[in-house]
Amino acid sequence: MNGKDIFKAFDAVDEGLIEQAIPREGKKVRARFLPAAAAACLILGVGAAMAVAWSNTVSIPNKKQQADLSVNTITPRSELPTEKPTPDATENSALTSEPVSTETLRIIWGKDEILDSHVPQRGEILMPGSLEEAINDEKNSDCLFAVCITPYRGKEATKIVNESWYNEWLKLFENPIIKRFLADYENYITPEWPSFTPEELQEMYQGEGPMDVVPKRKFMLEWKKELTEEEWESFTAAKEEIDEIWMNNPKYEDVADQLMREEILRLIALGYDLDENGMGFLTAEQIKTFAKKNPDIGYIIQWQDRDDPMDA
Amino acid sequence: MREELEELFLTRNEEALARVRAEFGGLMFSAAYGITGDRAEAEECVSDALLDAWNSIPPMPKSMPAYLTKLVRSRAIDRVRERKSQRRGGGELPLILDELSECVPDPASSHFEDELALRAVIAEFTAALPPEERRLFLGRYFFSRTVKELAVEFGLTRGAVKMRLMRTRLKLKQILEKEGIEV
Repeated sequence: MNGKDIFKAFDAVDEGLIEQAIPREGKKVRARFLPAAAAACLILGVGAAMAVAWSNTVSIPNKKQQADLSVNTITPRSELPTEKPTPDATENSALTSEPVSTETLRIIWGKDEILDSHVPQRGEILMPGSLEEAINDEKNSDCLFAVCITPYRGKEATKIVNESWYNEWLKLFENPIIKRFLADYENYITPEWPSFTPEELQEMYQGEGPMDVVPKRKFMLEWKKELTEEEWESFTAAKEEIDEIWMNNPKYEDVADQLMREEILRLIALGYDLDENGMGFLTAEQIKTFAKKNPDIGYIIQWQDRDDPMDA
Repeated sequence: MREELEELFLTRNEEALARVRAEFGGLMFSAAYGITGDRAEAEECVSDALLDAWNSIPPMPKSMPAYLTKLVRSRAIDRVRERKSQRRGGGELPLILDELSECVPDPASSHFEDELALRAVIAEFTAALPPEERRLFLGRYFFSRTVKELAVEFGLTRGAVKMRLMRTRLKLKQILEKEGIEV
């Protein structure tokens, strides 16, 4: 099985949910972090003018300064180039870098790279090899890296809901007409897929939920002919009850989203130069020491996509 | 609208198809084009899907646009499969399939029961997502929209769209692993 099977399986999504996702007219694109950066820049500009001490050279914070990086790291955003690099520049080299201030500070952009990902466990940091190489390159010690951070809390990232309804639901399968259906269906499909054990078949019924897959639908058309009208009505009523309870009782709860947002906000509060999506600019040292910030959380650190928000 | 359509389909009035095409043709074309990457083929998929709708309704689907998109999506997948041997390109589909392959714990395995369980997991998983994330996820993997289109609709950068999709795919992968589905 492969990605195509998953793609096809989207046909099983509830039509009501699909309808909610029907494309709408595009909203005006807004850059989520640029306004904040511009505001910070303005404040900094005023402060610099008052102090008459600001220069274009931005010093890179050392480890002791890491808890308070907002000033030093926000400043370069105001000077981010607004134009994308030429296609040649991005395609012909693994990394592109641009001077941001006139002297020492550069922002390093990597090629858009999909990580062959597994979910990081607690304390684990995953990043593309090109990023790892770049942060360990001495030449880049005075640079900022355009990255995106995704926090995970190991196995808590997704949760299977406590299925208190589940045992009650299983009892519905004791209904004689349902048992008859299951037995007949098993006889029907076993010759076709003889590798199924009774346990596998039982698992299949549970996993499938609504009885709407093609072999079953085809079988039901034939099976219906064997039943009296009363039997068929009894079966459809029982089946509807089974389907309804299945559909109205979610099995999964998405706890990952909230956890991720909380962690990104925590990182921002610590002074990391990130927006609420976890995209921002970090020093090599910040990336290298990242795990020390919270060993209970695993992170994926990837290159930030270079696309300018305004050309989307 | 729904009642009128139902009446037209019930009475086998071909006006039903004209109405459906006028109302949902754009949506259907967009979904088909996202998969085939070919305007002419996408148009043909829409026509085929309308014929499928004519042959399968009644009963009326729960949601007409969702049902029609499912039909046209299926037709478009068949088209791409048919021309696969001719090695012609195929819209967003190759990219989308690559992305979804990241969720596959063990690409070598294939079991019929897993296919059935997979359908249930995808349905449940999608229902459990926060609304905006779900719209983004379905936008990409059901409606086959480009990252750029989604970025415009959601007011995000393309990088943010890709990141959000990647995060959702990782969650799906976790669920598939937890459920023991050898996709």
